[in-house]
Amino acid sequence: MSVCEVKARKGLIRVKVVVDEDRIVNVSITGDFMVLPEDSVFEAESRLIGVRATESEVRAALASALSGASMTGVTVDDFVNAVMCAVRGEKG
Amino acid sequence: MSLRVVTFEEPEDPHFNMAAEEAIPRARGCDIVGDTLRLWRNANAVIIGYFQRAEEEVNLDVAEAMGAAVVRRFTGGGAVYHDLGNLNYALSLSASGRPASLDYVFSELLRGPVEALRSLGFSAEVQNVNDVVVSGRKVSGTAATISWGSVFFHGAMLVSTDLARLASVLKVPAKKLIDKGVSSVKYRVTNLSELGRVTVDDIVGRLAESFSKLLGYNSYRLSLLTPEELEIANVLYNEKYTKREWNYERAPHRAFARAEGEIARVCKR
Repeated sequence: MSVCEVKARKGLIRVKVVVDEDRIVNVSITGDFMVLPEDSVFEAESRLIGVRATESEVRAALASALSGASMTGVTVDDFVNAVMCAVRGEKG
Repeated sequence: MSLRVVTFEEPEDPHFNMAAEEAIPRARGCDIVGDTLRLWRNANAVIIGYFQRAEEEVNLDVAEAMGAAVVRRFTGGGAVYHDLGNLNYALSLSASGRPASLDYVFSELLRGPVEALRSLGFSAEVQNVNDVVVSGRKVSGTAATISWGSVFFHGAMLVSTDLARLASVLKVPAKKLIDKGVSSVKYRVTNLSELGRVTVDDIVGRLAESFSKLLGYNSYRLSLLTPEELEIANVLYNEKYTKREWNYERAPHRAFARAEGEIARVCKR
């Protein structure tokens, strides 16, 4: 498992990810950000499972889960960056 | 028309306090009650955000030694420490006819605590999206949700909280803010009592006045929780807020299906 923390304009996004044979097999997105509806973040986690750990596939999964969400100080790009950073095993 | 103000609190039972915090917007959303401002306190508790995991945010051994329960709330945002020197304010409004966005909440409703503090002579302003800052020091953090048919906004205001306990029980960033003066955020937290002569009681009345004015009410009235709100709070207490899955394991609302079913029944009556 690898972890990355990304500081958005408002809020920290912490991603833990497990990648096996280029696919995401486990992921958790935690932090002190705000997203409405809240459970779209759990939906984002679900949609990432089984996805190839490339930026385009991760972005597609996150964009579909978070489209229509209301966010302040945090963007879909921030979530993509946090997941990809964790995939690369960086510490943020 | 007057704004309903509830001062219901169970300072020694933070789990019930948080169950009541969710019960009010639930009841507001299904029109059991009107728009409501709640003002309340916990005696000794750590409250974490909906997207947080307790072990990542809280020094759990310190919390245990302090006798501080760790309770997860239903809004996003960061972990906070509550004692009797911290005043919580919570506004539950009907969602119908209001924009369903965080921008609306933080551009409009956040004026409530800012104006309350200004009326007491503090030069309060909003910084960093949703923080209330006086003289460069954060005195109140806020969070919001739009759920169950309600626009809900709440905040915690530091009046005379034990900041040493706060710093010892919370991991970053609060600890960084106080001890080292910061990395990611540009200011430290402090108590209002460090900045002027003020007590929790002084602020209670000003918050009731400022939110009433902001929402177009010409006064406010003190009210008890209704039997239905207490019934919903009891369901949430028993089925969710006393459960490890909720407080420590970051389970989503839908994991507590029995609570949802019972609340729906109360709402339908």
